[in-house]
Amino acid sequence: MLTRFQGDYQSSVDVVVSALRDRLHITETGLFDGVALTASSRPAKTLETLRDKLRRGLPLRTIQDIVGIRIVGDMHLSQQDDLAEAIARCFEGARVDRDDRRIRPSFGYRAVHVIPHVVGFPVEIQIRTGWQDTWAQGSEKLGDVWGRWHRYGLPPEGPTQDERDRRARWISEYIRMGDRIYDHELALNSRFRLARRQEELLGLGGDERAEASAELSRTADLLREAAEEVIATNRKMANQMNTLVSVAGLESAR
Amino acid sequence: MKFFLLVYDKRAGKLREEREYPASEKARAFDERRDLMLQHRLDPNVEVALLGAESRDSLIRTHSRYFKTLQELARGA
Repeated sequence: MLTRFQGDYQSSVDVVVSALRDRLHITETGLFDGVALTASSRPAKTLETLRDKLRRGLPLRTIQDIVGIRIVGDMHLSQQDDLAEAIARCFEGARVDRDDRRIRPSFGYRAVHVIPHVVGFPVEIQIRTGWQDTWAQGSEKLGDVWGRWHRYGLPPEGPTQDERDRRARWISEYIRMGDRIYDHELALNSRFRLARRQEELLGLGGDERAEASAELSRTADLLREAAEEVIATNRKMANQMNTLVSVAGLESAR
Repeated sequence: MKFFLLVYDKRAGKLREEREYPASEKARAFDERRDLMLQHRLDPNVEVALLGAESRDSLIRTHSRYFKTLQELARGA
């Protein structure tokens, strides 16, 4: 039954893939705001994952990621916003849901999901920055070995209580790692936006440039502060990585 | 767009099998996915995934979990 249901989604995902390719040129060589994006589609989620969701009581029709598309790029948070907006505009006239999991992370998972309803079915488009994707892939990898339950806020599997406790500590530190990564992304984004504004101001000519001199000076000061913030958040991220490794070591998590 | 059929051993964290299909053979990719799912249905450690991408490199970028160890993922961060 699930296999047949997945088949019904096929035309929906095909429409979405075509729209992204033809309207936004998201292909292997496509650029969005100067960022190289990589996309892939999942024509059908694994049955095991679907069964997990059904066991949690989610009705099949409400599961939005039965089929989906993932876009990954080394972009800043504001570029991620812009991309999500551009994608939503591709489906004007249709219902388009948006789920910003950067603000409300799902047990550490951060991304922006845009979900157009096409040919009667929702198709989840996951938009991840490089940092968000690396964290998510690590979380999924942990799920392979320790069970997927931590992704739903439940304790990990393990042969003994001590081992389950150790894994729970590890996962807790891994989620904290995601928070530190996001702090760093926020700092990088702030610096990126200020640098863009500075470029705009420097590009002004004559009188306009003179009028903007106060803002230009202020922007330069803010850029210095933003650069210091980037260094600070980077240091916190590195410290958290050391904590993570010291809790159990990457070796034991495979 | 090509299709990639992966048979992934979760416990070992490694791919057991990988097949590639051109867009024109999408139906065959789906048929073979169904056969592999039936073949491995009793093994909870095996995941059969069918994914579409422009190239294998694209797939490694968006689904690195299937191709890299946790240490390799951490090194890439």
